Amino acid sequence: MHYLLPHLLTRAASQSPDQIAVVAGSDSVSYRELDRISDRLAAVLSSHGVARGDRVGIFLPKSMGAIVGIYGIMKAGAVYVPVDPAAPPGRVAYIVENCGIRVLLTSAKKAAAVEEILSKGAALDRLILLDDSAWSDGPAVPVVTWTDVLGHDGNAPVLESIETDLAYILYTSGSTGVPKGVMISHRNSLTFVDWAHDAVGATSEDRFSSHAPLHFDLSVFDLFVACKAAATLVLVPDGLSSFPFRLAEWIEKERISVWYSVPTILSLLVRSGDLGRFRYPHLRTIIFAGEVFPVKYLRDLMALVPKATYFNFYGPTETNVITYYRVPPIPEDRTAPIPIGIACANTEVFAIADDGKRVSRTGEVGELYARGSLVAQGYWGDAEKTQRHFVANPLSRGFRETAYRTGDIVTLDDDGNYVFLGRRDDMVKSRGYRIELGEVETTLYRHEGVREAAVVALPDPSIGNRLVAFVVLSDEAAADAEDLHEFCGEHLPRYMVPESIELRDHLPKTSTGKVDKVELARRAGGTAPAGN
Amino acid sequence: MDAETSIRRFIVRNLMMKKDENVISLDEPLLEKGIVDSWGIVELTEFLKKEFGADLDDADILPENFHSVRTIAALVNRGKS
Repeated sequence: MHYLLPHLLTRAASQSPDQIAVVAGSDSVSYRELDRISDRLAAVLSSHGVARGDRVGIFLPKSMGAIVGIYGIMKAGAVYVPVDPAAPPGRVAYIVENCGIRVLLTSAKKAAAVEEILSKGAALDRLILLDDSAWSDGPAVPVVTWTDVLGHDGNAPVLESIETDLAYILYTSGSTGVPKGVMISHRNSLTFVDWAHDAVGATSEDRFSSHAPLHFDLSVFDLFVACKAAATLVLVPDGLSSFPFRLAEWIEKERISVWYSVPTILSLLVRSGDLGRFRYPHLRTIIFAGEVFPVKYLRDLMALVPKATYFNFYGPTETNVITYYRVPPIPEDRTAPIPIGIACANTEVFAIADDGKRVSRTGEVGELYARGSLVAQGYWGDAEKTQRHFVANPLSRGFRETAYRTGDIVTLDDDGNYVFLGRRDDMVKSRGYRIELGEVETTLYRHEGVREAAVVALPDPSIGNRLVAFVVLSDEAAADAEDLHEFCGEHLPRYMVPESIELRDHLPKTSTGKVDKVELARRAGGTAPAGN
Repeated sequence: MDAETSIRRFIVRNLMMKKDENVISLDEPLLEKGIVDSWGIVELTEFLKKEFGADLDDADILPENFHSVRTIAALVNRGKS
């Protein structure tokens, strides 16, 4: 029986040792090799004092080394924390400090960024390099090289973790101005992985694409469903998704059979990939999640790759995936977005209307809740925020249990599927990423020249939403819009930096004195702000 | 302004969020260094079409054409003739 994610690897290695586990460019490893190398890394981590429950950071682009890192960390009983390799150093330093990372798995290619993270006071004891790179000027902390890892002769520690221990922490945008760490246990993750494995009918013949970055929860499906099936995981080369024309060739050439990504990438393939050049005979399942897929591009995709089965997965990071919808042929005249569907196994989803009653009939509207073993353990080090979102199940009778309030407003269609309508707060999606508008506003307020700031999201057919910031400068401020843009770039991940920053003498207010975001969105050329 | 100058300005200001255009050279490897990512390519392509009226096909949007400011300018100049 498996009850920990690394058990999937151990089993694949014993049952299909020679099967290719991971392909990264011209490099590949078998399940036997992946199991052995990650054992060595676990031994190295253990010899440096990493123990059950410790957090270990991964700060490097998705690569063979990063995959070894994920399994090595979990085999040491520790919790992996994948950090966006492109995030500004200040944000990385915050995450390192926030969850107490002492050991960071990285590459000398990230030397400049790591030095900057250290200079911001990150209390790291040790760096472990997961590729052949060498650090030219010794950094301020001891380094373990890849050669040291491969040459280590100790045994992997005995794994004493239990299924409720944390497997990983994923940081997402937080409305108070700093990212928050979603704590996922082995049981939470495996509930999803076991269900998804069966839902897509994964087999060892499959070749899974690995498109999503490791700090994004879509990567969980690729990594662990492929492993459970002893299938092959093929990493999409860094930068290839920038070039849809080439990406289409890659999908064909690599004989990808299961593809999973945000709709934005699939839309890009439809629009600029010239998909019609190939027939993709191996591509049997296409899954998307993270944002609403514009129906016209989805319909075009289904016409271009007609043999594949299509799934829409839905679920915030805090719940893995809680609902799914198997997409039937879409009529020509349909413009409404497709539903998010029905609950996955071991999960209950329900919507609560404003009057506190459960949504039960077509067309009724309410906020979506989820309960069951998919629901995360809360936010790392933030009991207050955890209590606000992970609440006592309002429908529970007689015993205490937790439900997650998604903040998503939904309705039911005639077939009993949930349909996403919008948000009850200021969270929006852009390029599949979650963005709390409040985090962008808080960042702008940190600039000394900013007196007032409001950020609105304008719906955009290609990326979901486009952010526009409206700023009133203080009288003595010497800054201009470009300074503020630069400032945002230094403090926020790229996808959260507003597309444009407009300076105003004052911001329109509602009758209650709040910034009138509807009016701002109208002036910025949109109809209504998404996410309000 | 010639194509190289205005392309460099767009990349530095809109994709790097910096003011000083000299932070990158005309031969700076934009993709290798992660300066231009997938969304950057989309924005850059829209910019090239609007700014230069460049006639770009899907098959022109390739890594070798987006290697550096110089190769992008060459692509635009080809597209105009």
